[in-house]
Amino acid sequence: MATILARHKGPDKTLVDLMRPVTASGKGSFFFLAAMAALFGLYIIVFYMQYVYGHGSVTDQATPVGAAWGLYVTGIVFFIGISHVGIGVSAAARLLNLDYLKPYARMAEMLTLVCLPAAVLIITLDIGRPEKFLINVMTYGRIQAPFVWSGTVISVYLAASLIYLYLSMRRDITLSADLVPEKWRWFYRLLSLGYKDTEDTRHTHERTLWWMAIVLIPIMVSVHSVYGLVFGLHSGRPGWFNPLMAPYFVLGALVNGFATLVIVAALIRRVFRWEQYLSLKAIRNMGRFLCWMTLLYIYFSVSEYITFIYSPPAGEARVAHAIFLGEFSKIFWPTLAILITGFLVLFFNQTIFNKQFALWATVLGAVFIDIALFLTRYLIVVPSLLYPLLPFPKGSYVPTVYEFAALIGVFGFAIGVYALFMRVFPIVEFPHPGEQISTEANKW
Amino acid sequence: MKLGRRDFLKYTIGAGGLALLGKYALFSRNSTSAQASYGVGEEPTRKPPRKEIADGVDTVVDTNNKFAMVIDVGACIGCRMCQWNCKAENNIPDAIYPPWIEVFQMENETDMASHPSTEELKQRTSTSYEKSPLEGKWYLPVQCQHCDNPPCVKVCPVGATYKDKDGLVLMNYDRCIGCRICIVACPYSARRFNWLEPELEDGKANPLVPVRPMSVVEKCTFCVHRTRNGKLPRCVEVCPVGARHFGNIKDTNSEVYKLLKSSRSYHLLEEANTKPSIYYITRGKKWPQS
Repeated sequence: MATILARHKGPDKTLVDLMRPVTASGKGSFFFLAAMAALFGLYIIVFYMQYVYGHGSVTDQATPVGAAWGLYVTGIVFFIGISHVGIGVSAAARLLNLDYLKPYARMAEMLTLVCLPAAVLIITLDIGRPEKFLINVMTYGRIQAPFVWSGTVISVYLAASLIYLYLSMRRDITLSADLVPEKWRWFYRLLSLGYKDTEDTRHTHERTLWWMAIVLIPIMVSVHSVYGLVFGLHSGRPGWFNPLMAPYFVLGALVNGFATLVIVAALIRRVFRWEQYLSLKAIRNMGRFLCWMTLLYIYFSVSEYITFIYSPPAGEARVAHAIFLGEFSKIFWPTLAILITGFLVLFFNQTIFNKQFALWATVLGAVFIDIALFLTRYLIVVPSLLYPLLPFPKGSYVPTVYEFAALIGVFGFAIGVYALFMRVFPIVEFPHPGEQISTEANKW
Repeated sequence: MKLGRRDFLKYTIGAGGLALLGKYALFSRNSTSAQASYGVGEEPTRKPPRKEIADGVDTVVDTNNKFAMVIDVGACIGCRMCQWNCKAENNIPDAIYPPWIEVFQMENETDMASHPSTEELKQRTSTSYEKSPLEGKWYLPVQCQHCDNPPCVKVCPVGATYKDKDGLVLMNYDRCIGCRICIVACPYSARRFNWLEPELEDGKANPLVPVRPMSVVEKCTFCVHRTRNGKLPRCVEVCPVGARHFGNIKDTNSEVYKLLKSSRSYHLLEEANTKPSIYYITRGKKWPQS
């Protein structure tokens, strides 16, 4: 058994290799981080303009005729969707003993921890008076309001995810201290909070994480259910009021999250040449899961569309007309095509021709699905708002350059923080003593 | 100290209990005072003068009142006096368009129970007509319906919009965080948002009505500053043909009560189950038909 703690022998080769992003990154990583920070600057600029001159000066949102919510809310749902996956993958892997997923767990957890704050950033951007937002919700929050539910679940999920991530990487932080240059050791020692890597502590941590996983999964489901309910509870909004919303959003989040995870995992695997640690089997299985979840999502969508078209009430009929034949058909049909293409790519790649399984095809399918999911959210949010029930003239909404800029800024934030995390901490969990990271992992 | 699992649970539950206790100790005072001012059947209470920017500051909530408005769409000539006088009365900036009241010019065949197609609606219904009244048209004024089952109040995360015991749905602008979920929830599209810094002509602001800050939601208040002091809302007062009626629906001698007893009435979007305080009636066209 290779004891990785045998310090007199020098650190284990695997660990050194897995610490490469931290120890061996050059100037390139700084330029990358700076670029992301610059992108985030876009967000700051738009936020400032909005704060000083009002949403009306920057966005194309309007009331009562027009979209009261627009691209921002689409972005919120998108990021909350991605955040869904992280702890989900990690917890499921832990509960179901899917050991081959273990090296991917932290990547997934970090997706959660990056996307939740990103979503909160957009919420702050969308809200009219961000300076009152937190204080007023804390002081006067009404438990009957969907937004208070969302605030509650997001903060619980964020806190629980942070604890979960910390506990699951405490050992790695401790081990990292020996792998980084002398001047940074104090940082890792401090963060490890006196962790001693023994059989006993590893066991305690595993048990705690196992219990946390059980608690986290229902929280995860609740987070996105609440987002479905934010839309699904309004009887006065044609097209939204249906009981499918909560499960539809949860499923959308799973699809969205897994697609993003597959993309991120493949990127990391490729960029750091970690083919021997990150097994292709895991990506293939995630791709397969994503494939069936996408099919289920298409099924959910179709059943929603049928209800929408068959004999809708008058108000709903107008929205349906706009989506399927009217002004939004330009977005709707391509979206559906992209989604189905994504599914087909995965379907052929993961199941029919799985002997010739190609990683690039899985990633391509995942990219398609992610794009389609973003557009689907846009089609859920905007059309319903443009068709009031009373005979107001029809509104219009075209996202402005500023709205796109702010959203790109948030993407910059998310990618930047993710990269920064990888620059500081190992993104792949160190193998426990006795565990084999097989160089044969690419075979199944 | 060695902390076993049992101890851990004990301490966690203890801390949770303490936190709950603290919450009640802190907030119980607020909740009782809120009950006192909105309680059914209690003595009329004067809302304390507040420094907050809110509707109905320093007015009396009389729980014997239940305000209602009756609009006679047969009489309405679509002159929009209500719309523009409301705008001046309530300090509505130009940036908010349409203002709190909107008047639709409807075709005779178009009724609210069935929606024509988008195309038809565009051709037939107009909010930008220039001459009125026209033969073959009728006019439908719409504003906040002051629902008894208000969807906007239900979804507000901070209680910035609330239902008072005299039937008014009002805003506390200081609390509003501008999330706009109430706008989304309102089936009548009656709520407006201050997308820009509101600009009023100098010296033209009505001192009785708060000037709203940027990024808050606002809407018709049934002129709370007038109606709670025994006056009529501005739109009722200025209507040249007497199409609008306002009063206390609990009072069997009031005009609105008698009107609703004697004529057929309907609510807008009855299926939304919002139980509005605005009733629409028609007693046939009153204006001369050429």
